Amino acid sequence: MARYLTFQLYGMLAAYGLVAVGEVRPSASLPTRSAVFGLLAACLGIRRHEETRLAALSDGYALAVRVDAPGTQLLDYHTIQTPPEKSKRVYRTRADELGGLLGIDEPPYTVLSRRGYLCDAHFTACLTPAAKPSTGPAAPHSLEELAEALRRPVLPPYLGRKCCPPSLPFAPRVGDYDNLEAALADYPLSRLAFPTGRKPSTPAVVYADNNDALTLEKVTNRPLVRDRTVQHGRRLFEERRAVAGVTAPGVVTPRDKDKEAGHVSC
Amino acid sequence: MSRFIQLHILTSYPAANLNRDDLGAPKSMRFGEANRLRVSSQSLKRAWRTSDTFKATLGKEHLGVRTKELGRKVYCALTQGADLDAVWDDPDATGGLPTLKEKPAMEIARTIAGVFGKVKKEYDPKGDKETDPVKTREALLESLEIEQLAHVSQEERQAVAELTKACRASGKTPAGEALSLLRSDAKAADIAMFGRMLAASARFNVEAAVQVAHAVTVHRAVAEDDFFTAVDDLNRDDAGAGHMGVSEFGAGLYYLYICIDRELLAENLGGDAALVQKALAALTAAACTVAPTGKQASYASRAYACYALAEKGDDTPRNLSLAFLKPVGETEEEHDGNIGETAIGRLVKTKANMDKIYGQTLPPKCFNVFTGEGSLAELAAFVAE
Repeated sequence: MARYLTFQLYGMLAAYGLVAVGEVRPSASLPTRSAVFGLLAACLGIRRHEETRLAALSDGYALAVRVDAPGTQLLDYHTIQTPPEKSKRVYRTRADELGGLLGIDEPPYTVLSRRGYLCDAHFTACLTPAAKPSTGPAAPHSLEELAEALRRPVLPPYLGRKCCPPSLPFAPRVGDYDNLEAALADYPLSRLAFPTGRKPSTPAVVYADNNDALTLEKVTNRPLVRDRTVQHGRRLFEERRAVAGVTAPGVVTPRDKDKEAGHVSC
Repeated sequence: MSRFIQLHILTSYPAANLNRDDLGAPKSMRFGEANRLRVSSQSLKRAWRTSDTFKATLGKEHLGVRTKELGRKVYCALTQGADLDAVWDDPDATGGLPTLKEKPAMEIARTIAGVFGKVKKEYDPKGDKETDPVKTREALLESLEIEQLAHVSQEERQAVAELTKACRASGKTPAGEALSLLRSDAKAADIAMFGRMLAASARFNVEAAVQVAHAVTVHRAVAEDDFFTAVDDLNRDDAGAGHMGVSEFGAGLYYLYICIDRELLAENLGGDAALVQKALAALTAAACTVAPTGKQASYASRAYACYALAEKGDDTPRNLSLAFLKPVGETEEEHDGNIGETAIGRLVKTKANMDKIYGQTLPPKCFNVFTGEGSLAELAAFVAE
């Protein structure tokens, strides 16, 4: 028996950033570890510079993500105007950057990028306190505290990028279950909670942090994921060995029994 | 007080190309298994930030003054015995305060103006052959100008006034911290709302208090091709066109969602409650009336919101995009209906369902152009209060 916190992640758009150098800033196909803990940090009111609290949060729990609907990838063309860097010159307003402090022959540069998004993707995240905190401190917040933060966040939460607000409340649920699969199976995907109109992937794919999260016969893959963050004064990506497997999704009204399940009726 | 203010806005744009991708076509996306047109959030934010609505609502006291004359003002204040505010409006104002000599006053004025931009070449009295004292003075004052217009906020103007006062008393040219303080508390409402990330100097980073989603059509929509020809006015020999081309455009009713973190906005603005209210009113007005200006000359697609709903509360903010997951206007009963009214009906119903299922209670306020209910002024007041 262990305690699990389960909640949903759904938005019209989401962007779960990967390592991004240069022009293309892709999105992973499922919420990265740092995205989920960043979201929880925002809900708790932890600011970006509070490295120790962020590290404690990320180290304190094991995470699994179930792919309910993978969504579709979108690559958005994006331009930014940015002023030239000059030592001693400080830009304090956007007006400064775009001309206020620039000389006539000193136009702001245009930076091009392509930003990856996921459209209409639905995921279920499941957290449990980390098995044995050998070096670091124990989980800094109880799962109930995290659930309450998800219900009444301190800072506005978003799905990876600020322009990706959630389109459904996170609807957190805390409970005791035998294992991860039981916790996930008990998270109901009601019509409103699973709105994309298609049957969720059956069986659903689950990506988990630790090896023993899934029963051995269900493990299909052990992907190398580069998304765990480590603090070294600044945050860096670190590789981890995740475990992917299949499991039955939550309770969903069968499609043929309910023809309206296609879309949320409004 | 409610922490989050959420705005749900429906705006119908006729043929337009407000926000283009790298191929020049209107931006698009898949949503609810259907093609939609899209306007990115950054495109919207830029249009609002640079709008006359922002200028008018926030007032000049929060948008600053563009001037070259900062150095002149400081010099006049120091040599004419008046404070900076007096010479700001009247360059010839005099007063009973202690005055400084020409040379130190010039030094101080140049140093202070130098914080805001590059100051013109120093005035050289020996090189000036002019004998008319009025013209000499004008040449001296001109040499104190900044080469380009500098954007000076009211807080900065205040800080310059304080520093001028201190320099009058000490007679010394300011240096170091005294100068760097000048602009550090500038209350730029645009940055407080939309944030800033400067990789080079993290201490000037500001976490955006306003979250803007991409606007997306509530119905299926694809970009259409406009084949056009341009005729050569002087061509008499060939009946054909002088130029042919294709440009893409699209029309649609867009749903826009904005979430404002009121507490963060207040924090970003140094706790200035009056300014927070102004910023909120400006943002509401701009979001309902200002569109990105892409291709205005070809499409004149300016449009005002036909419906806007504001909600306040502490619960997890959530976009109501779910209302349009199923594209509007595709069922039998929606065929002959007004897409705008159908969309409003869906939005209102989704909000009600969401409130019921997730146990949220958010006091709403709205205006509706189809029925004539409510007003932008009331909505802005509700958001700002």
